Amino acid sequence: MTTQTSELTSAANAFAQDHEALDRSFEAMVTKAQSGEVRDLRSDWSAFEEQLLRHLELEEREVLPAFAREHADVAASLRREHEQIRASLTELGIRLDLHLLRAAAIAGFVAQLREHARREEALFYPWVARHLSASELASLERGLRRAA
Amino acid sequence: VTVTLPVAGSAPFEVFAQHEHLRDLLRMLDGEAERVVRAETKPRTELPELFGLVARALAVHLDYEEELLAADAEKNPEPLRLRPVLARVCQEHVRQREEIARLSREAKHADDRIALALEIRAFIADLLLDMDIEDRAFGAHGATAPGQ
Repeated sequence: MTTQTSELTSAANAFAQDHEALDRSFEAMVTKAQSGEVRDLRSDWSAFEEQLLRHLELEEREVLPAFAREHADVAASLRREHEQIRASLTELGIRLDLHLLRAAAIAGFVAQLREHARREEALFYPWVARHLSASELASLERGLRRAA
Repeated sequence: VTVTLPVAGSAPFEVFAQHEHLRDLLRMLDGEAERVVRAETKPRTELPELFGLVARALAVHLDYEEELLAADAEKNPEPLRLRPVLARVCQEHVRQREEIARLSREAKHADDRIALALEIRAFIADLLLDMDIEDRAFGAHGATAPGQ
């Protein structure tokens, strides 16, 4: 995922870095699966799923409500994208368990996550960096570190 | 009916493996439904959400089985041999999809959780029996063990 790190600071940067960490985890899982290393795939998937869900939850609980007061439409569309990502996670998990996870579905999910990350990093995280207090940013960073 | 062992990696093996996973899901769902039925006071339950998850896994599995049987019937030099199996499975799937749709509607709107739980338990019992029958049919028609 591309990150406009120069515009971001502190927790906003931590959110973007978390995107990159999630991206790397997913890439590593796909690489292992393609090389036939499927023994730990379910546990790797569960760890990835947990990390991604915590990331979404942290944004929704700690930052999106304040962002929504100034940018209601963008916040609503980001929430909708979160719901779509959750639905995709469930669907992929089901297909993984049934041994029916196909390359096209994985590619679609990667594209969905990267597009969402691009939108957040362009529209949402710069606002986070500008508007949250130092203590709020520190609290978010701690939350993200726990999620990682 | 003669049951032969499915070869790992073969399509019938995948169906058997999916059935095993679905049995685990159905047992988990049955456990939650039983808890709802036996509770002395109205319990907090995620039965509707759990049913939604299992219903989605079942839908993915039913689609896969039908694609598999249709493809097999097409390439098989003796397609007539599989036609009765395909027809029976598809007929059964129509009934199961109707039942899943009906229970999904009830799960969303039902106030009477005990009635819902009882219906889900009956559905699970029916499905488990049907998977046993399918395992025998797939085994008999679709696969041979190594060396056989």
